[in-house]
Formats: sequence, C-alpha cells, structure tokens
Amino acid sequence: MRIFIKTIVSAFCLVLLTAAAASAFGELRYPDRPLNLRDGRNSRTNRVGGLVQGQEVRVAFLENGWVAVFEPSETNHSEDAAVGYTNLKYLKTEQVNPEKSKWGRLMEAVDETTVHSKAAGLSEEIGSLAKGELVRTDFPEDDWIMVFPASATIRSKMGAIGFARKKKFKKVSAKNKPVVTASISKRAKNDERDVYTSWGKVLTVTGSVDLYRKRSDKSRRVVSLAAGERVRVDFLEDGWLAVFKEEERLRKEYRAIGFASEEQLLGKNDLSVSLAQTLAAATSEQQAGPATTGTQQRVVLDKNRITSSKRPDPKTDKVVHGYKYKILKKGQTKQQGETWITLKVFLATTKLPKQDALIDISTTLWKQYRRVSKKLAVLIYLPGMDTEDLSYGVVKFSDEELEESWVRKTTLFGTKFR
Amino acid sequence: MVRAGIPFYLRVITMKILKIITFLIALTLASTAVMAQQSKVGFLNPQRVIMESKVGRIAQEDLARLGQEKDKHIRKAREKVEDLQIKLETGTLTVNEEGSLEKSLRLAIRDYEQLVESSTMELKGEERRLVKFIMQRADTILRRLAKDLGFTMILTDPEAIGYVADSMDITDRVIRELNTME
Repeated sequence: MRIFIKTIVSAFCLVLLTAAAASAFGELRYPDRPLNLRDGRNSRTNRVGGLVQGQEVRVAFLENGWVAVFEPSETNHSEDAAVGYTNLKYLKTEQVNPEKSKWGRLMEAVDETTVHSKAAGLSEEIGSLAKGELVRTDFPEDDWIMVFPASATIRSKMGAIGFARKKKFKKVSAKNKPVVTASISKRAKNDERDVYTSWGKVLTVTGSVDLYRKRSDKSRRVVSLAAGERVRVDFLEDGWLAVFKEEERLRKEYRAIGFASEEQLLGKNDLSVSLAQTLAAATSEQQAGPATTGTQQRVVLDKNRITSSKRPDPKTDKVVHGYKYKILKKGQTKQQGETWITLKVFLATTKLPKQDALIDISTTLWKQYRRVSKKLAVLIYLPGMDTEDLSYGVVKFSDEELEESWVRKTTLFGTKFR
Repeated sequence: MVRAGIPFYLRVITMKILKIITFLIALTLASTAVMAQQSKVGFLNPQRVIMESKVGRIAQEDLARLGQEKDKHIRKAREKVEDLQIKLETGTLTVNEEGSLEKSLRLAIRDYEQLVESSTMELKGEERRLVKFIMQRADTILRRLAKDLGFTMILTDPEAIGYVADSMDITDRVIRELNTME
C-alpha cells in the first residue's frame, strides 16, 4: 500500500513538473554586470536598452554565444517576443548583488489614446489605450514618448508597445498604482506591419476548427473555434495557416492565437480553388445572384430534378440585340445585407453566344429593371439547359455599373453546345 | 469404467447442447454466405469523378476563371488602399486633409476586407454548386450501372472505405460514361 501511494505521489509530482516546464521556456539568468541589449546577435548592432546587474531575465535561442532576452514572465515561446539580444557569458545562473532596475515612469492615460508605430502623427496606428489605463513610459522624442506595458521590467525599445503623445498621460498617484498591463500588444520588432489591418484574410469559421500550437496536428491543441467566429488568417506554410484575432493589427506570426490546417479553415477554398477537395461540402442552395455560404453539408442529390431535367425549352416572347429571349423569373433576395434583383432569362439561340453578347443583353435588361441602391444579377440559360439548375451566364451589376460577368461552361454538359 | 465426478445424464445433456450450438453456428454461417452472395456492394470515388472526367475539368476551369475575376476586383481595391497610404505618407498635408484622407483610408480598408471575404464565400458557394451539378449527372449513370451490375449498394465516401476490390470500384466506368455523355 505504501509503495502504491509513493508511486501515485511521484507520478503527480512528475505531472506538475512537466506542466510547469511546458508553460515556461528557456531559463532564468542574471547579468553579473550592467549589460547592453542589442537588436541583433553581435556588438555592431543597435543598442536598444540595457540590463542592470542581477536583473532577472529569461533567455533562450542561443546562437554563436548570443541569446535572445525576454521578460521573466514571458510565456510566448517565440523569438519575436524577445526584447533584445546579449552575450550569454555575462549572464549567470546565480543572482549576485542585484541592483534595482529603475526606469521610465508609470503613467495613466488621461483619455483614450492612440498608439503609433513612430513618433509622428502620420505613422501607422497600432493600437489604443483606454482612459485611465496604466503604462510605463520612457525614451521621449519631442512631443512623443515610448509606451510600455506597465508590467515591463526590462528597459528596451524592443519591448515597447509604440509611441504616444506625452500630453496624453498624467502621473499616477502612489495610492493609485495597481499593476495593470496595457491591453494592447507589445510593439513588433521588425516593421512588417501594414497600416491598420489590411493584411491577411478575415473569414468566418463555418464549422468547429481546432487550433494547434504549431503547424502540426501532433502539437498541442490550444483552442477550438466555433462556427460563426471571425478570425484573421495569414502566413500559409505547408498547408497550415496562422490564425489571429480579427482585430489583430500586427502582422507578426508570434501574435497568432494558433495554427489550423488550410483545409480545415478554408475547405481548400482559397482564391485558387481545388474543386475536388471540398467535394464533401456542398449546399442544397439554389443559385441566386450572389452566392451564399452556410454551414457545410453533405452533397444531397435531388433525384427528381435529374429525372425531370429534360424539359422543353421555354417559348421566347421578346427580342434584344438580335436574340430572342424570355424572362423566366424576376425575384428579389437579400444577401449579406444587400438587396439583389435576380432575372432568370432564357435565350433562344443556335450558336453559343459570346460573353460580350451576354453582357450587352444583360446591360439592356439592367437598364430596364435597375432600382436605386439595389444590385441586379442576370442569369442566362440556353436551349437544352434545365432552367431550374445552374445558369450558363451570370452578369452582375451594382445600381451604377457592371460589376462582373462569367460563364459556366460546365452547364453546357448535355446540350447541343458541347 | 464410469468416471467419477460428472453424472452420466449431465454428460448427455451437455453433448446435446453442444450439438445444437454447432448446428446453429453452421446455419448462421451458411445464411450469411448466402446473404453476402445476394448483396453486392460497389464503390464510386467522387473525387476522381471531379478530377478525371472531362466535365470535372471544365468545372475546374470555370472556377479558376471566376477566381481570376474576383482577383481583379480585389487587386483594384487593394491598389486604392495603397494609393491612399502613399498620399498619407507624403507629409505635406494639412490637418484637415490628413483627417479626411485617414477616413477615406479606413473606408477603403473596410471595403477591401469585405470584398476579400465575400469573394472567398462566393467561390466556395460556386464550387459546391458545380460539384453538385456534376454529381447529379454522375448519379444517373451510377443508378443505371448499379442496376445492370446487380449492386444493392454503392459507397461513395473514400474516407470510410478500408479496402475495396478493383472489381467493385465502378469509378472508371462512371467517368467513361460521363465523358461519352457529353
């Protein structure tokens, strides 16, 4: 019995140790003298900050004797989260005669404050601070000052969130000094950011998607996205995408909340499309002007439609641009907040009309049926086609102009035009 | 010599029970074999139908054309965003001009993002419609073949199949017939 209890306790301790090891990375070190922090792994690179003797730092990514330096509490195991680099030989495992690291000032935002990437109003906005939010400020430049998370312990420009105007802050009284971390991210090391959020792709998740810590489903699963959640994706590599919060402004891979396979996220359905791979996903939706998406469904074949697909062609009653035609149906739908008028048109022709001809015919119809602030889609059917199925031509208009047109040669299958 | 331990009548009953069980097992096996002979299961790989049939390839071209059309619009929207960014970075603007340009930029970015999202959604929808269109045509062939070849069931999910004998895979025949239907 005693042995059994010992085994259980040992196993429990082992699990605890493993969990602790998983959350931390690198190791804690202490400089044995004041040290410079640099933005690269050699002494010729720019100085971005410094450490005082005995200051606790986390180090990792050793290369050529130089290590990346992180805040001791950093959990983001990515070199992009580093606040600088320094030579490992001055970093000891034991803390000797520590000096107090005193830098910057704890300040409070007097109002909602925009944080910029540079000390200039025209530079990109990379975030904002809420009124009353506490930050640490240092490295003043004219009217501007660098902003750090209130919890930052290392004085390094690489650890800054960004720049804000000095006048936007006031001193924090001693009694009002809770340690609050700024809610926006630490500024990126490299300037890969696009202005605002014009990067990656925002999409709505259509089904449950697991996010992993790395680009492998063998790595730890960090979170699951539910259907309907909106995320930003970028950095496609080996069929895996980095997934970010929709509002993420920094295009930095380390800011990702996780990784998901492209197939799972997009259904292999990016702008370069692979048809067969999303075969399993199909909708029973009828075609309308704009396409709609819904949750993924299995292909449901309508047997009745197949057997009744060979109907006689409709009789035409009008002529436009030398083509006899009939308007089969005029409908109105609402898609993604926009109102669409759809015109189903049968064109009696013995020769396959060119796309330009379809545009001309559609434009004439659009002029007749257009309505202010409504979009219009003309769906064109040819002889031999099932007019309840996909159309051959699709021409779309805004209320002001032609938006796009394309033809589906697939729909000519089984007609005399093939 | 009579063995001590199990009484004789018990041994007789046990033997009878064993005989009955053996008979039932044999009967079950025989009926399963007969049933297996009666039900013939076939397999169709829809991915191959899409990838290898002529109509499937045409559908892929259709989709690629639509993708190009969408790309054109997206590029245009992106260029608009970039133009505004460049104008903002010139540094020669008045405060009013800067404010107005920043507003335009925000709107342009929003339009761009919406366009990217809606284009992706539209392509996804179009892809599903085309796949469905082809599979509906393949289904007529499938049902006729199933009847002709005596299949009582045809499986179409490659993920769910561990093994299928070549003779039971009718994908090639369906593709061939689809191609000749055109």
